[in-house]
Amino acid sequence: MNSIRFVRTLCPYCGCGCGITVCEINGRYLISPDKSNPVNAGKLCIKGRYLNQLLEALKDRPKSPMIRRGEKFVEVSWRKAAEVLARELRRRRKDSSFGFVSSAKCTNEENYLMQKLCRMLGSNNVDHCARLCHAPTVSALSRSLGSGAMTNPIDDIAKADCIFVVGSNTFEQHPIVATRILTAKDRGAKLIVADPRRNATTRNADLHLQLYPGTNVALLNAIAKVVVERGLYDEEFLSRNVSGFEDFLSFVSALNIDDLSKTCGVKREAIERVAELVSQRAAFVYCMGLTQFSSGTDGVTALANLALITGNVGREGCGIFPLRGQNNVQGACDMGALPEFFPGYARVNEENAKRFGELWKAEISGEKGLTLPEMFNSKEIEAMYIMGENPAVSEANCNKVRKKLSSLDFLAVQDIFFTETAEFADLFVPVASWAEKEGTFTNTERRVQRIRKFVNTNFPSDLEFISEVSRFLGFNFPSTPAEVFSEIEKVVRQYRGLGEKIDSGEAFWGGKILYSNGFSTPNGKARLFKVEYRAPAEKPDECYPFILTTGRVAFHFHTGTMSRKCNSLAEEVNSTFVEISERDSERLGVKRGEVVRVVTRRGEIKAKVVVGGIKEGVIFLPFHFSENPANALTSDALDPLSGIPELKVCAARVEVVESE
Amino acid sequence: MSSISNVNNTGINSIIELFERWLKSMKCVRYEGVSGECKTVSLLRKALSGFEVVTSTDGYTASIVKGEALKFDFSGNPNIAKFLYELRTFGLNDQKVVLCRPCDARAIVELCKRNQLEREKLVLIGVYSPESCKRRDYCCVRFSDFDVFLFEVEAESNGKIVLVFMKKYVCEADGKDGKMDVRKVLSRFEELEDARVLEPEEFLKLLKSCIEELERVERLLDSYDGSNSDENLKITSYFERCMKCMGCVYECPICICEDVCMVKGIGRGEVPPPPQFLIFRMLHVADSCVNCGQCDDACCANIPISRIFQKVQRKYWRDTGFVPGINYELSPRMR
Ligand code: SF4
Ligand code: SF4
Ligand code: SF4
Ligand code: SF4
Repeated sequence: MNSIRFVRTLCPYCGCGCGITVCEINGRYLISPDKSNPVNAGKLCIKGRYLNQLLEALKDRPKSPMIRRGEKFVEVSWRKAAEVLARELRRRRKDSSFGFVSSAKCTNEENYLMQKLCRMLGSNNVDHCARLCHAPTVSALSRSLGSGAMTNPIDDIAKADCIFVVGSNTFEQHPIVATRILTAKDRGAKLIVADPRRNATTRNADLHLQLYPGTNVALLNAIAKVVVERGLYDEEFLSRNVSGFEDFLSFVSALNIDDLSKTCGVKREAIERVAELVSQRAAFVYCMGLTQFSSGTDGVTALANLALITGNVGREGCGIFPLRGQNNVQGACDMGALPEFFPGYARVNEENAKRFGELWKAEISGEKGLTLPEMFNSKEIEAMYIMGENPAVSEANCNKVRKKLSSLDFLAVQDIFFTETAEFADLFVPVASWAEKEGTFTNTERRVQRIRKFVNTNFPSDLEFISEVSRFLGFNFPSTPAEVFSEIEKVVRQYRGLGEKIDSGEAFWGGKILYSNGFSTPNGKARLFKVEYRAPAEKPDECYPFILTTGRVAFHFHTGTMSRKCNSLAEEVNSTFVEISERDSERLGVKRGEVVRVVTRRGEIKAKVVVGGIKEGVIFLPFHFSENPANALTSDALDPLSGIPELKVCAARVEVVESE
Repeated sequence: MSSISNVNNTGINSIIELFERWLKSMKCVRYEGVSGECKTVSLLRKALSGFEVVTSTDGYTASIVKGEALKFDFSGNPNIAKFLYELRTFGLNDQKVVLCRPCDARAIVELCKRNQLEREKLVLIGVYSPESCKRRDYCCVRFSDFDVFLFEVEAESNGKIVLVFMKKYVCEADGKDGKMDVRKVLSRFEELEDARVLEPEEFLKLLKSCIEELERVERLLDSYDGSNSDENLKITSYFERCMKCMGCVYECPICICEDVCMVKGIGRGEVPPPPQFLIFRMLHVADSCVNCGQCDDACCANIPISRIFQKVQRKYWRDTGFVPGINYELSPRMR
């Protein structure tokens, strides 16, 4: 008898959270887009399209946990692995000399347990890669609006009259969002894109603002000034919903547009035109090109200011749209896998520590823990427990991170594949992939969706493994996603009552549109903050004359752990390149396809030259390729408010490699 | 087996003619059914319970069902023609009752002609209702090779009714020789409480409303013809939007090459790829695109691909009289 079974689940890559339909036919799998999932309605980007190749790649991974004995790894059982990990953590419980790295690739339930485990051990040293992407979103939007999240559902972008994209290559990285932009454009909406590069997104733009990396605040302030000067602001909205407008007025009136225009490299006329456009019904879309700076929080704040003064928050067809990279960044933040927040964005302080202590029946610390970069800088951290992340490639200045990883007394890495980070591990624990477990993910628009198991396996899920570890520590966490989710519903304010809505596909926390009835700040009003432009930590100079910025290509995902194992994606692009403007390439005397050396104060890599439409004086590297890691070059200067490293700008030089 | 042959001139007349010829070998059941729910759905639910059916409906609840209540939402999930093709490549080649829309059926016909599916092993039940065909306005010719066809129409004072057209020859076939007992499927439609086999006069009267509906669609289609300048179809600017998601290749039931050209060839590593990326595919399906719209649904760039292809293709139809998915021969030889 033939067996055919259908399972509806999600694409595991990005924050869009597209639905897929998996058909299992006699133990083989056919993956197609899910037409009834409202997020993608039958569409998938190229990464989702080749998910079957990822399934193939999953067959080729370590079959059991491994413990380091000298130079070699020996295989152990999962039970043994859990026992060893529990022992190492217990040993360091007294002085909290451990760090937990949770994962935006894992489910809500897994993140919840991960941070709970860390906190029940008396420490808040738990963080995850949101620190490298949307930490400024959390720090800026939660003080400006109340919650660090996308204000409206993705579909609202299609209803806007103007879409202002800052630092996002939406057409390559979030194609499912780009679909909405095109729907809006077909209706006559205007698209403005601020990006130093010319790429698939800027090609579709009506107005491309080719600014210098790291000057977003200057650009956004200049636009705000024009909005104010021309009286384009929404007076009624401001007086009812926003505080701090008086101060903001005097702040912008002191600004000089020509200075700002010179700083960011965008002409005054363009700035004026943008001001006119964004004062319509406008959607503000942004991504890493606004956050990954030492002024990341300021950048997001400046954008929020602009959205607020134009009255574009709290109603349909407009809003602020931080696009999430990982499929569950939103969820991992909601679950409190952050050193400064307990679940549900309860700030880490004595009062909340007491509350969670009562809930969890344990002694919980009220002291803020270490962020990811702080863990890698700290001498106190002796052991790390890393789940589903690859900091050896993804962190800024990754050579330094690698040094720290190799100097740790104990490193446990729990992942689906044996990653570059796992090379440093004392204990490696292979776990179930997204195809082999159940749980929920929260996509970029705060929509909580289920993933469903369709491949049978004997790998435990992250959740089962954490739960096993907890048993060795005497905590006895539940071991099914359903049990954990019902605990989440009790503990995380935003998730209350969402469980029953999930199957309808409309489980948005906070409702579809945030702030339609006031803001979630203490006084119910949004707040404008004055943010001055601050230059990036490194400026180009004689020795390092270029500004280096980093990013992604359409075909790969982050450190390539998953996407580079898919042949069809690897066939598109599979090695690093450096994009240089035409003028600069002529000046350097390098041609397309030649190999050059890119050097910064922290390291150097080789890359093939691509001549493109990038701004003069700026060069670009993708960060997917671990054999030539762009992050060996990037700067680890931090944003003081959010702790995000300045991945998007540093000074660099390009050296011609003499042919050997 | 079928009397449908090359249509010499397309356009509404030939379609009506084709339709009438097809109907001569048919009988018709009128179904009024319960009120409230979509009539087609309630009819199908009653008639098909207990059969192994491949539906083009919501994959999660009931795509292949044995004896369960069916859930029909007409979302086309999965893409049924492609799905049948894939099933075959998985070695599943047994007989099936297939519930599908006209566009799906046209694709199935083309796949049969290309020896990718075996028509004898399928009982095709066609559905045409406002819920099932969301892109009715672009759907070109929708009567192809159904064994049963459900046509939901507005009938005088009775509101909506469903006409069930069945092929007589199938009704008369028996279930021997290892063939599927299609009679069983078909008799279900006649035996339903609210169903009634129509007398010829009434049948013809109702037929008129079907033809009117067809004429309306045909008129709409003409506006996509290459001779009418449609400002909205600026082909190159559409092609430049392409994000290279590969949806159009993988969802297209007609694109079934082992070594997929677009993946191996044009614009490797580029987003957007050069326009040739799409033009190449357009040429490959120029004679065979059945205008099913699966590529439009899958396109991240919202390119109305099938409409653009149609524009090119309709000229070819007019010149050769060949309509893919309708005519049984492969493309005619050029004269
Ligand atoms: S847009 Fe994101 S979620 Fe959707 S298919 Fe692509 S990678 Fe997957
Ligand atoms: S090109 Fe589009 S409309 Fe034509 S057969 Fe393929 S999927 Fe259907
Ligand atoms: S475009 Fe051509 S070669 Fe490519 S899959 Fe379609 S028919 Fe085959
Ligand atoms: S479906 Fe659309 S975006 Fe995707 S490859 Fe085809 S034309 Fe390009």
